[in-house]
Amino acid sequence: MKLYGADVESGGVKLNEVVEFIGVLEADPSADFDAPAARDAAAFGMSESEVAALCPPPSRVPRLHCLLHRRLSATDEVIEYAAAAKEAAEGPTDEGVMAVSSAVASASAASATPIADVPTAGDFASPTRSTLPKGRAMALGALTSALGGDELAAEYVLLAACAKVVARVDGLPLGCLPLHLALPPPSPSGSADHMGDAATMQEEEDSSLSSSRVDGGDTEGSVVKALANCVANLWPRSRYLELTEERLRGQGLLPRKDYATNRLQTTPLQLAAHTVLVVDETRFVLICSC
Amino acid sequence: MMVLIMAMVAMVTTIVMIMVMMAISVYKANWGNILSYSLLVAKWLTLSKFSSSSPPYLSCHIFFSLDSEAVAAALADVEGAPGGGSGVTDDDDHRHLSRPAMAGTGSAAAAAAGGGGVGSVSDAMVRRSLAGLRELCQTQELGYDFQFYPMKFKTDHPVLLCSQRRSSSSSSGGGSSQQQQQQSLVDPNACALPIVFNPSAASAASAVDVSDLVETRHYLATVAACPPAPFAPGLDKIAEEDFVRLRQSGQPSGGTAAAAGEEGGGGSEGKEDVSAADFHRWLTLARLICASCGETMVQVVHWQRALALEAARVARLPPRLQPAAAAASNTTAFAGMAGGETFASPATVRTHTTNAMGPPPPPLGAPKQVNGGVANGSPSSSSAGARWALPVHMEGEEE
Repeated sequence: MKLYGADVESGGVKLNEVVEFIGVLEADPSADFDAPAARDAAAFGMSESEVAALCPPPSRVPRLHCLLHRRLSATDEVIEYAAAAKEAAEGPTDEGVMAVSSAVASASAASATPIADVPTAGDFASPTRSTLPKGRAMALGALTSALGGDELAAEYVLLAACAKVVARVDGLPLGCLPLHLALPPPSPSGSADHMGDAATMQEEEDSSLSSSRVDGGDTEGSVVKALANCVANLWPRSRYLELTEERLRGQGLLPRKDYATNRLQTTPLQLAAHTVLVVDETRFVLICSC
Repeated sequence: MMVLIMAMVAMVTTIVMIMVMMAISVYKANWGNILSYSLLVAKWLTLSKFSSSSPPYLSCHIFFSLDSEAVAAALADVEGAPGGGSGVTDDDDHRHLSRPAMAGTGSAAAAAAGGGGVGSVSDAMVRRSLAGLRELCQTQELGYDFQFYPMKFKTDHPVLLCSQRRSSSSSSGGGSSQQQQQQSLVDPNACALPIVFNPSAASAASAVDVSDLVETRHYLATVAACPPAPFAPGLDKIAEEDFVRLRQSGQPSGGTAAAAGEEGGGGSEGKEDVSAADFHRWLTLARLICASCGETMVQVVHWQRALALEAARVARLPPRLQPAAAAASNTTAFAGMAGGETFASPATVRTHTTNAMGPPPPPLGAPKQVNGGVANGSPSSSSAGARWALPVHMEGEEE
């Protein structure tokens, strides 16, 4: 990603930001190393392999010369989704060509979604109070269904997922609400079968809603996965993190810098802001009991 | 004779040179070189004792074993670990703690890695990952490993921890094990809520329509875009009085054992008093309820709703955390809150929500009623709104 002029002066791009770029893609297979960057790297006495790692040729890593960019929040993503759906229904206009092209991905991902009566971005700017109770009721209904009819847990999940840090006092965040949902213990016959039935129902329900759903599994984690699917359907940014032995012993969860490739190795915890993180500890209990 | 004299001269010269180098190392505080030279002198003298004709090979060899504890302690930077890795600095004693890997330049290191068990080294990775996840939950900061230095970045991620309670029959202990079942292994201080699974309710739930899904997303985006709501005038006084009343009454807070231990020193024998962390959680809940209702100011009804939610949540915690009388009578009354009104459990409230439990919950689209209870700012007006309890269907919701 190449930023020029005012884009760099405005602060550029920061870590874990979701940014929308419009620019010119450079993927010239005949091009060699990035000459200016390679020259700078060679000036520090780096070897050829190190220079190649730092400045790979455009044939391997295409460059995008940015003309415009803007940071997107989670709310903006929903607005873009609504705008793209509306324009996809009415047909792209001359003024909205760039907007549609920027939201093609989200619109294509939700191609099965009906686009009638979709509010526009203007509706978002001034949400009517009358539409809020229905939205709240539907959110609670979806969460209640995912949690096996537990209305109290559904309301807690709704509140916890809407929480955000409003201030920090002495390093402690204010406004967030980490929630621990203790699932029922597995029983040999009764509740386990019910949980499996509910999970199957939820999976069938979610199959028509989103393509980025979590695959169903065994009975133990079915409720968690149903909750994760529901959260993924409702919130624009969500992440289902299953704590398993392989994940914890392998790559780990903390991002780390690889100086050999001069790249930051991403991990599941490196997320954009306001991403709802659903952590599944049901399998991790077995590790600790070993 | 000449050969013997030359050998003695060479030996004395070598010893003098080594002593000079040691003196230089002392001057430069290079303890690794001092160790190497000491070993070199000892080894040279030992070998010369057995064969004075052939001078020994001037080198230094360091041997240390890589067992799992040593590597894990080295990765975790545990001071004083037996046989750790590289040297660390003890700032308290202003001394440099040596480790077997701390050797002079040119030393040949022979490491025996056979003592490490399968996956033992990765245990440190597991601990680091869990510590990072716990830090993310508690402080909303994520540490990045830049190999030479760590760096923490501020984050803002709502976290939902899902674990599975173990059955009581399989647990070995009594109360303490039951309490641990309610805690998350990742973040013990997280707000614990046991889920009551109702298969009939789950099967009766209808599938979410796609159009409803879009509208729900709009609602959630609107809630997320709302700025933090301030508290209404007078609400801070009401909240303070409720907090003091609950704390004096000794009601269970529903907080975690870790938080209670920090607050009360762990000497309450399982009785978790209301702590500042609980008060902070109630305030956070009130703010979130206000935001979820689309309001721009936290009113008394939101505060009472937060207390009611907490009451219902506490009712689900193990009996050990319940009041003795309530546990004996198998009731989940949560008395003493907001002027003595009784908040009942969902099971007992279901029959009262439509008649004798006072006014209905605040409607989402009726700010007049909400503001009416706050305009006075008196506890009496707040106690009237404190009567409604869970489950409460807000106006506009489907019954």
